[in-house]
Amino acid sequence: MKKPSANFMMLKLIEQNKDVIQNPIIKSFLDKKENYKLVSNAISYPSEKNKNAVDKAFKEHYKQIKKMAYISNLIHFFSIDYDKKIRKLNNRYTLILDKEITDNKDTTFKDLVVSKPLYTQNIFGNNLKDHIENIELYEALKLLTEKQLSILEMKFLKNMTTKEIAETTETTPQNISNQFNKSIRKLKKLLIKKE
Amino acid sequence: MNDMKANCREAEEILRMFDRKIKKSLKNTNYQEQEDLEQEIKLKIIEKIFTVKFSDPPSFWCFFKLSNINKT
Repeated sequence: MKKPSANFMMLKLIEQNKDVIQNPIIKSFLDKKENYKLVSNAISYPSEKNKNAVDKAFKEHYKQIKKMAYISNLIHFFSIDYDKKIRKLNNRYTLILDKEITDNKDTTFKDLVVSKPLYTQNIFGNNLKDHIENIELYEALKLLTEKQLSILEMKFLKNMTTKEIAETTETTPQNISNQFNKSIRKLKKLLIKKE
Repeated sequence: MNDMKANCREAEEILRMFDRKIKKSLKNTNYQEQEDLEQEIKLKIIEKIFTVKFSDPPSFWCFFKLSNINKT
């Protein structure tokens, strides 16, 4: 009895397992010439050794494909997750200070920021006089009324606007403005006289 | 030790192979984050190559109905 050729056996195998051959992993495996050879060899001489050789090659091939698929997926989903993460963080720690806080329309983020007084005010004291180096100016300031002094203090030391000063002292802005101009004029006069 | 070396070489190879894919995936985030993302992806891939154990692949023969052939 003549043994059928390897080619014939191979064709028969393919014929009988059409649906299996369509499986992409098997197909790509058999597309490689050396693998095809191994398989046809194992079919015509079905020894344990030949079969194992096919198995070994196939396992290598399978693993490789699995790995590639895994990494391909990893790249895709990791990049999406990363973007989501960054977006979330940016949303949570936004840099927009005057954005409204959702449930309260009047307050903004900058209202929540604690403002510490400038360190100079702490070192040199809270009075305007404490900040004066010029002796003549210091002497001149002493001659102002208490009210005028406090207005100058708020204006120059605390950087308040005329309107804000008026609100804290419970008078009109016009009054504050007048008092302010008056005290400046007085200081000017005193200093010029001294010279 | 040898395994380690093989993994390193494999990681290099894979990073080279997937370079285009990585570059493409960077478009998933905005421009400022792209450099960071590229680095993160590469780190992740290297980490996975060293740690992930892939399940044992099935035998080649279990896909085929061999009995008929052997009889002929």
